[in-house]
Amino acid sequence: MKTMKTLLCMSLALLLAAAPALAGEDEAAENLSVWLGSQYTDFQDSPKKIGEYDKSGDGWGPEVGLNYFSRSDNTTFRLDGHYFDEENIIGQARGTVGNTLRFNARYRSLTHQTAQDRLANLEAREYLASTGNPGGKMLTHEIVDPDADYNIHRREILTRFQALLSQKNNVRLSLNHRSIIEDGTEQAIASNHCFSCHVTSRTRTIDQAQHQFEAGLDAEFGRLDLGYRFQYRLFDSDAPDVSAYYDPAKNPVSGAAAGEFSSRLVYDDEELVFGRLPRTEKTSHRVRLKTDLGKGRMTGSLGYARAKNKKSGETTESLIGAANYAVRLNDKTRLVTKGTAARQIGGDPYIDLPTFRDGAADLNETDFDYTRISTLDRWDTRLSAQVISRLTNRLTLSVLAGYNRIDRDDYPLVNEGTSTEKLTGQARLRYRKGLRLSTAVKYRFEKVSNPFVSARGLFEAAGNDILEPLIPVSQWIFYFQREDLRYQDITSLPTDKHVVEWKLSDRPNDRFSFSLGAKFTYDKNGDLDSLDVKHHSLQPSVALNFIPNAKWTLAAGYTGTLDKSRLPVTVALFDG
Amino acid sequence: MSRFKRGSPGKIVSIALAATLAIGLVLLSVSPALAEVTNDVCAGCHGDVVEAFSMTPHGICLSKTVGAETSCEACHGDAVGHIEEGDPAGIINPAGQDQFGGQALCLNCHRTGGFDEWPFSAHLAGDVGCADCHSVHVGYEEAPKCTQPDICYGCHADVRAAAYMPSHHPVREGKLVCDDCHNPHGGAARLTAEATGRELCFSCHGEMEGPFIYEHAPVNEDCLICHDPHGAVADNLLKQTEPALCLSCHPMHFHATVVSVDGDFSTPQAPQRAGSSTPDSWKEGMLTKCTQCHTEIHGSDLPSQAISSGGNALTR
Amino acid sequence: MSDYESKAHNVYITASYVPAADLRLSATVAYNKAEASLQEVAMPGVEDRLEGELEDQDFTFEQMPLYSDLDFELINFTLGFEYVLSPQVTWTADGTFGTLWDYAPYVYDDETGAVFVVRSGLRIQL
Repeated sequence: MKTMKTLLCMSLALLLAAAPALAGEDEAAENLSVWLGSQYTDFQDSPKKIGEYDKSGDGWGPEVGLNYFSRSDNTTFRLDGHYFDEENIIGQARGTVGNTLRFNARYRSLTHQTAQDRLANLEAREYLASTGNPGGKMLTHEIVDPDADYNIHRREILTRFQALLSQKNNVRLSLNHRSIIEDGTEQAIASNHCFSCHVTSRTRTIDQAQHQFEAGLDAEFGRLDLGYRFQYRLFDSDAPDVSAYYDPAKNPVSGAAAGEFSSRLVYDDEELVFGRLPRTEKTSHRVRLKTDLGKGRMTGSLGYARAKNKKSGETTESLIGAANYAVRLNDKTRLVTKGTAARQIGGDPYIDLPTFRDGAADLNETDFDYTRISTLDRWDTRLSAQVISRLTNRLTLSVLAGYNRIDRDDYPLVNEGTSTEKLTGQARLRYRKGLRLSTAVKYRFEKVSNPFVSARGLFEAAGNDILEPLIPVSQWIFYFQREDLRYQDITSLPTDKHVVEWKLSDRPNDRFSFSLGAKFTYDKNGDLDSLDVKHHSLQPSVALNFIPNAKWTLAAGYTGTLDKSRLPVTVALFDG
Repeated sequence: MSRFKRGSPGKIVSIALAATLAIGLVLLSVSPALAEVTNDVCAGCHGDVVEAFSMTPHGICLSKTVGAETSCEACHGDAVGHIEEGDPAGIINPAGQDQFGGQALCLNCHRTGGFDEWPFSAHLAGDVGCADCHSVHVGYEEAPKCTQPDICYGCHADVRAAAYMPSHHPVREGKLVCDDCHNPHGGAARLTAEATGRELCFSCHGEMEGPFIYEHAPVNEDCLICHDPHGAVADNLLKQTEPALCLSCHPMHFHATVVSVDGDFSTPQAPQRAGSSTPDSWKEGMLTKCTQCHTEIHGSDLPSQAISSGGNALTR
Repeated sequence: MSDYESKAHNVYITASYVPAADLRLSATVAYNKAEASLQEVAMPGVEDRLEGELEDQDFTFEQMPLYSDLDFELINFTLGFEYVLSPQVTWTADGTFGTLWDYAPYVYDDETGAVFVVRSGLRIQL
């Protein structure tokens, strides 16, 4: 990864060095300004929230800015940059050479300060009212690095080149690159529940990067514009794994029955890696076309993507086709239609777990092995049509109808199978008087059948007597057995959604302008038999601009959000 | 930006000539009956605009195509009537054109690459025109009327409010801009072969993509089930605080009803692990922040501890 | 069953004053108030379902709405100054003072904090 960073820095430096040379001759205009100064930063109390994306640390520091622009008959070049501190820098170089070459390079870095979870709420021991004694359930926490100061330094490098390869058919080559490199430290939390629930916080080093490369070729053949894009993306981490010791399992009070307790766990009494990041490699291909069709314009694309986690071997694949068509039906009416169909497939790994209570004396073992069917597996189809009509010189009406259907391969939704359907309707009326006054009102509704749910996520039927004890001698009913008694599907997603939005902008004179707006949303889920899940929000806004005279410019505004949701909030009628 | 016609490949001079011819022809074809009122005449009333325009990208380009002297008419059309009568209505004002009018003028040149999807864009359908965001009479750096995000906030006030939430992407700090995620000229998420919102998020948050052995279903469904990317009161751009968000789809943890001792305690098997609790402490532990233990909420390759959970508790 | 509420209010005022051709002053104040809270948790009928099987459990959640409530207040002042010393040199200075109050500390302890940034320099046209 270090080599990669070096290459990236070198390519950026080369680009920045070479670009002025491209614009060097026959310069018709050139402008260079620098800003030289310094800044002082002081944080008081906690810097983590107020300075989340500011520099980390107090004190004085130099600051430098640069703006350079040059233009000749055939070239342009622009370089802008600002150094705030070593971890907060922005810079961008852009240039053109006639119509044959266009490039853009950008560097941005920032510090993300993150707070440390003190875990102070994780401190309790069970009390058994029936006996008046402490119970066996215990909850404790441990902070290994209580004084750790967590910061992530994020750098982004982006380069884009576009070159004209041939005037014949307007053949264009695009080469793009983007890297996001992050280092620093963050909090890593491990929890083990062997003889007690013990949650441990330590420091994890961050040394990760995401590199993305893209190459594309576009060409025109008469009225047909065709293009192809290949993209490769890699996410990887070079940071050392962080590990935790998982206690030996045994009775939390007496320390006995280690075999019984251990036989219910995948692992115990060993040091193990946790929070491991994936190494994700993704490739995608996309072809696109654009053409005039009849009196309208059509665009279409076909894409295929494959992502693989090189550490686990898990893969996902996506195939998507899209087509859009827009046409002017007459001088006052446009029709815009869109359609996409996507197929997404995840892997189905077999989860091979130790046998539950393996070797237990009563021999009532349970096998929890299973094939994990990916919840990603689906067809997703979307269609929409929008008619936009200029009713008068000042009034425009647009009406949109949309349909979305998701057919999941396996994931159960309510009792209706595995498909979600959504119908969308929207109407927007806009009034515009010249360039000064504009107002619009929009209404949108969504009608969803079988939105994504946590299937049988809530509510258990009462009573253990309807369950078969796993250990006949003891008549124990385990907590996971009771999960089978849940009967209520639950989701935060609505079956009915209504949105009303209004905006008004006016500039009564050249010195004063204002805008007003309000957005109201109401949604509810009517499929959840015994639950009343709903949500509503209101977002008013006002903005004023006033220029009383040539010396003063004033602006003010208010925006607000008032949001309320009804939550199910239920208990489990058991305790493990 | 511009289309190219036939010419001699590889020769910049030829390209420039061809481009000049092509753009000139295009502009001549769209500009209604150019009467060749020269820019000097326009400067009589609009001197500052004409002078500044010659140094703008449009001014430079048009000077090589339709000619430096008549570049005003390239976009504003026949100016004769306007000059004779002084009536603003007597000349084309691109800023006043809607999707049924003069926007085709801009697209005659800006027709490839990022503008393919403009005819299908929500902005165009909403009657947002080119001139609502762009100024054609200013220099290279000032092409947008003002910088992001302010220009976007002008219409999207709800997004401005969200950006001031305690949890937000670093937009108001100037470290990200709106078009890092959005394409104002239309089209799906940037540079993707997938239409899903997930891909857009993964393009920066690659560690979330996995694919993981142990999944959390809503991560495969839609990031926006849990997150509000423009800003939220709750940490990590969550739509609601934990545990409220989690309790929208899950019952309380099955230990949430445990009563705690009132006083100090230590763990019999590890006496150094001690603490102090009240009767409510077990509830506070289980009902404050679920991801203190379920840390790998976006997915994991490593099994959780309990066999009975199928290894899928996302704690490791 | 419970209700979850979040509220946010953002107000800003900005002013720019150019008393002379070579002097520009600006000021902005922004205020933000953001709250999120869980309301009373009610589970009607839950006791009826217990059938005496869970006698050591407590199904009241009176304190729960307090565990994860959030309540922040933010105020941010920015002052700007720009003075043209010569056609090539402009002196700029700006200062930002921001304070965030955390009235309902969550798991990160009290996140109340303030930041003060002052910056000054010369913009030189070369």
